[in-house]
Amino acid sequence: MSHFHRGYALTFESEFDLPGATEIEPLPETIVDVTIAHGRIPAERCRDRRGFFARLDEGVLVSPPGRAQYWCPDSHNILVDPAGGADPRAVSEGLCAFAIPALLWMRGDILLHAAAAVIPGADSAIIIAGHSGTGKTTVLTQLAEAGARIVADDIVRLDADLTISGLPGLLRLGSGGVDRTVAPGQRCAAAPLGVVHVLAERSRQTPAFRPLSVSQRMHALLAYQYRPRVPRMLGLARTMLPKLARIAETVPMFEWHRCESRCALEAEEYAALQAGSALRPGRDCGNDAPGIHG
Amino acid sequence: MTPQAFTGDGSFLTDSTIWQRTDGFVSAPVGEGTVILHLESGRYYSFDDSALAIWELLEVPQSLSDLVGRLTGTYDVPPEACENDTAQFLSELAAKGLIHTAT
Repeated sequence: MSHFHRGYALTFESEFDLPGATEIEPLPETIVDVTIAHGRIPAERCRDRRGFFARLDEGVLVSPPGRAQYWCPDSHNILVDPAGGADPRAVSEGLCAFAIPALLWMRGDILLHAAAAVIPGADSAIIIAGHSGTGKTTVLTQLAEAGARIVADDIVRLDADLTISGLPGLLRLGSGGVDRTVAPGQRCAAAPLGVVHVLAERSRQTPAFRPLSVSQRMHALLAYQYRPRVPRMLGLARTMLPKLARIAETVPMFEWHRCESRCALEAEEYAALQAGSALRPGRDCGNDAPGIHG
Repeated sequence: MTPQAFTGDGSFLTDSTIWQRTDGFVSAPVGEGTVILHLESGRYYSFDDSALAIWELLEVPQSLSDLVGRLTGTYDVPPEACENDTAQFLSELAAKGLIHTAT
């Protein structure tokens, strides 16, 4: 039986659960953007392969072991052939981690490995990028506790008009995968992109936001693409590169240095995020300054 | 003294050696420069206007002498300085695998 979900600013009709998407009741005028259904995957000639991803004569096949085969014959359909004995939850997680990103790339979208939120009072979203373990979800969770609306936890979709979206319904803390559900009222389906913050290695200095040059912004965008080898394999880099360049030229970006002894957001960090402006690097932050939630 | 360029393996080549771009790069202007992305490896580089001028000339395989002739014919730059700078840049491109000698 199919259910209807919203995620990545698209409507999905899916026979599978979509963790992080928002389930909706369809209206008569609801237009389905993507259909996800059980199906047998026809054997097709593989033209190229990168990890789990293979480019076929028709579409993209994703085959993460132990989950399922996912086939995107076009940018509107995903057929799922679960592996024998596969945990349904693992099949659904594979949809969100591999198959839906493949479909979005086929639509020409840019995906960043990042979190995103809209801070209370703001009319645009911030993206928080950073390598695994730099604390994206930790920051996002604290922003949520301060009333921010969540756009995405792990994968951010960027449209051509610089609108961002994602799967806002789930925060996954740590590599162990502890999930926290985001209340429906605190989810943001889509928002214009205001600023990108790139989490740097932590240090003993007080928090600082250092502005990036246009060239540095471009390098950051290239560095924090989601699974960048796959869109390159699909032949999309030629069209994506100018899009990334436009984002680099348009969107302010900062390198965000956080104090190594702090998990909690400090008041000046939160204030800077609200203002979208830079903080100056400063004193040694020590261990006794209070952590303040916005 | 005639400047010479290094190949990627460190050997010297003369200024008549023909250089050509390695296949599989795409580029896009960004701000005041240009980013070059290698499709296979994902490695990327930023070029300023001078570097881009040489890179674009190398769309057609040619020698250091050819490059210098075209650059000095286009830009107001002393030939000796142009030759030195271009040879140095070719060395860097070869070391990073962006160009190689024509076979």
